[in-house]
Amino acid sequence: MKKSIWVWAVVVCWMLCVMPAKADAIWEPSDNFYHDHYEDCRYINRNFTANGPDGEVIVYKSPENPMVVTTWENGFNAYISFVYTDEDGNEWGIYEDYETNVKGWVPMAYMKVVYDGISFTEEYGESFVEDSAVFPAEYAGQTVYCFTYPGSESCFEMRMPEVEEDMPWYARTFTDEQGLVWGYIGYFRGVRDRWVCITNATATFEELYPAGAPVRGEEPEEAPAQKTEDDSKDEEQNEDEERIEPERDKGLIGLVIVLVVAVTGATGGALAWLKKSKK
Amino acid sequence: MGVYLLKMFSISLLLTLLIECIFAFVWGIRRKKAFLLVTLVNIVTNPAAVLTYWLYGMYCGKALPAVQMGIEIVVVIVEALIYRSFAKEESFGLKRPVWFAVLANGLSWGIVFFCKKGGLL
Repeated sequence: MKKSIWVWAVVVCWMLCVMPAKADAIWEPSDNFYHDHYEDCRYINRNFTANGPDGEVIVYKSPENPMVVTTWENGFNAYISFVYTDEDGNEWGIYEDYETNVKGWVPMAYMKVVYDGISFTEEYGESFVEDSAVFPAEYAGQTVYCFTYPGSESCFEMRMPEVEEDMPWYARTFTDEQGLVWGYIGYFRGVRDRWVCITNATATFEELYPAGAPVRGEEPEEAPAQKTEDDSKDEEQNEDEERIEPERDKGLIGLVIVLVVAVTGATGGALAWLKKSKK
Repeated sequence: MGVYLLKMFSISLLLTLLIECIFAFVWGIRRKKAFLLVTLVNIVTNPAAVLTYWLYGMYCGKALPAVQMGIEIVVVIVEALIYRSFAKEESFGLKRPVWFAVLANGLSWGIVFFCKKGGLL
């Protein structure tokens, strides 16, 4: 009887192991502060470029611990998975490098987002056409390119299903500056938030844009204006502005010092008693 | 922050006690009194050392291995002095107290250092 229970237990465990996962998992950072505050953290999953004052961004141990983990020169590229907002309203992003085991928190005010699919939607969202349909049957069984956004060089190949009925749907379309029509794939067999050129889905970036892609995300250049007195005052204020850094909880620090001194003192007393009791 | 500090102090102390008590056994210590001595000595030095290093990081910024090493040397000196004063009493059965302090601390510091480097702590 006992033997059969064990056999069944092994079988059930094996079945649980081979059950396919239905949902996408989000990789969580292995950081103490994150684990203590995960309910207050927001998943953003975006790449940023360091853009701090004095040409650098300081990475801290946590939004409450000003111990410096490392310093990035402006231009350093970092992936930020989660963001935490402190009591002063400052946003802090967690950075984790699994190869070097460097992890820490950076003020998001000093990080500039790398143009991506979200930026594209923010910039061109108004010109999207809500036109849900299946990708043309001519691409069945073909290798197509999935781009981060229309005009992005970042892409990967995807093999379309052989059967027409299994072809992915696109939720909306966008017609770019060259008249190419793009379809947005929200989710299809692990592919998430990608754009496929409906006009020519099998074409590479170079084939689609032989003369170069349209420029995205660049702010229009403003004509240089003469500095006014107010501008100079603003600049002085910015220079005087203190760098965002984790705030020290002085009350807690004081309490910790008192507790450690008390424990050390009491244990020292116990040691003295141990020595005396021997004599 | 409070939870983090509690974790930091307790993990550091418990790990040090575990490693140093095992080392004490390997060193040939068998008497309960001597194990009590090792425990008390570490309760005296470990939280103080962790606090010093934490305060250094809090107010001076970067966590420097040289600072950590300096604190560890002070800890070894203090522990060696305490062990030496107790080693005079035969009832503790503590031989070569200075070497015991040096090796026990070196071992626990090394294990914790590599655990942290490997992302285990």
